[in-house]
Amino acid sequence: MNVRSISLASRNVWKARNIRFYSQSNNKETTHFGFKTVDKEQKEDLVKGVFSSVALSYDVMNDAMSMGVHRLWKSHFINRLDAGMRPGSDRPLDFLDVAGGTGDIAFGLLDHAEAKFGDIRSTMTVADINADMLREGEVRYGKTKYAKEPKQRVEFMVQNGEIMDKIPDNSKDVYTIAFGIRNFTNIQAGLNTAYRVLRPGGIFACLEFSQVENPLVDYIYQAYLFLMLPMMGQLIANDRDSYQYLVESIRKFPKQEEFKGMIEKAGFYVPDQGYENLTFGVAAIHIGVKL
Amino acid sequence: MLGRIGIARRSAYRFYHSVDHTVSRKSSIDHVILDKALTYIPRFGFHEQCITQAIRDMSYPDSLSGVFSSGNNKDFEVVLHWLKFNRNKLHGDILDPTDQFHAIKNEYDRVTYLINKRLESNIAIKPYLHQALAQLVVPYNIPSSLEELHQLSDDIAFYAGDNSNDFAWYLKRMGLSTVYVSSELYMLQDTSENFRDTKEFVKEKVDSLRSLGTGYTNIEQWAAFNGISLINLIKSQLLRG
Repeated sequence: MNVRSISLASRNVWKARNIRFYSQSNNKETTHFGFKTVDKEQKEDLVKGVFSSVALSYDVMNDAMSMGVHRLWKSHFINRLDAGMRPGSDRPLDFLDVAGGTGDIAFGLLDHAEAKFGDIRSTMTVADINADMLREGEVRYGKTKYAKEPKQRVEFMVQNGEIMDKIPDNSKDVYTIAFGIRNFTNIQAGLNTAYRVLRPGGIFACLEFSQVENPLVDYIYQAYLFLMLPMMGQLIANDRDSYQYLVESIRKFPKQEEFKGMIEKAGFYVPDQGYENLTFGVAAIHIGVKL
Repeated sequence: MLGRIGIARRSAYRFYHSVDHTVSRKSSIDHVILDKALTYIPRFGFHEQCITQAIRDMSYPDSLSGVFSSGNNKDFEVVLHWLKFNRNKLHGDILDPTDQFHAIKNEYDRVTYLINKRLESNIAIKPYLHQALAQLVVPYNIPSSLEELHQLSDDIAFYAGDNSNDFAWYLKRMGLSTVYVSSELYMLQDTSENFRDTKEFVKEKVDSLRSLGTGYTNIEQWAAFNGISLINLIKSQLLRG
């Protein structure tokens, strides 16, 4: 408890200084950027800055931080969704992977659809607000078998997940977002947009960091997050601030039940319990269905 | 003083009680899909194809199958829903006041009737019954299978009029579960007309449960009597100094 309270106290001092730095005029609407409070217009740029600076070392860092577990989560997420055009169906599915920069979910979904259902017609749109992350994804795409197909099925586009101006209403069947939605300035707007672009019967699936429910495990996890991660960011990616932001944004993200409520508020039907905790709730899968 | 005891009793946690295990949210989309999927079992067996077909019938995209949390294992989803559906059907059947069930007075005869009634639902899908049983004993599925089995035996015991409130509560349910599973396995191999042999088997098993129950009560009485006698004996010896 001591370690955390001391580090939180010192950060509060640091935070107080930064608030002044970011909020020049007091009458603007503000939101949180990690533990800092910033103007709403600024958050988008700040998040862009974080991901531009981590784009290249993104996967190495993910592996180091989660000790490889993020690969298991993603694989479970894809299996859980079990999406793909079933044999005998007359219409291929349209996938949309938002904040899917590096494309691991996107290619994973297509691989699953082909391996399990022999689906080689469904299309994939990878959208990300950050052009640097998207470029990283396109480089990887070049190395997959999908790049060699005569008819291109994968498409990359720079899109703000809250607006999605290039994606028409009722045009997608599966909307996935893995470790992206907590960076949205307005999460509810992002969910409403997801509802807008999905067809009836379409499914919204979100994999995101969440809150550990067991207090003892949570204590250890918090200590790990706040003490180890920024240091690893410094040592491996030479970028302490970006990883400090990641840690704080994980803390700020709504709890499972609260986020489930937001999904329902956007209009989705939430089946069963509504979410599935992974590794004590470090991450959680949320599902919503547009009816 | 009395009041305080009363409050303490009311707030005490009850470790066993009968509950009504109905399937929740009947109008929800997953429930509607599964209900429809059950009608395809005679065609595809216990296979996720049933779900795919049900979704297609409702002209939704294939992606809707993601609504089920079992992910990769939708075959089991069909099996589990089949079990829940039939358990509920049992409940619906005996609610009917004209059902002959209400003429049976003895608890064990009621049990026999209910088990037979439940087994009757299996007749329509008997060629695929082995698939369902195979899914139920996959280690990963065992917790859900056992839970469903317990709920079935709990329902049967409850409808039969069980009012035990001691350790017999557990024994009875375990006994009923054993009888049900063995009868279902027996049914798998039964080729007799109208499953006459299975009915005979159920009757035999329930009868042995009945004698087991009598035996249990006798042992309980014997142990209680001797326990009290022993205490009295010790007391009298102590009093003599």
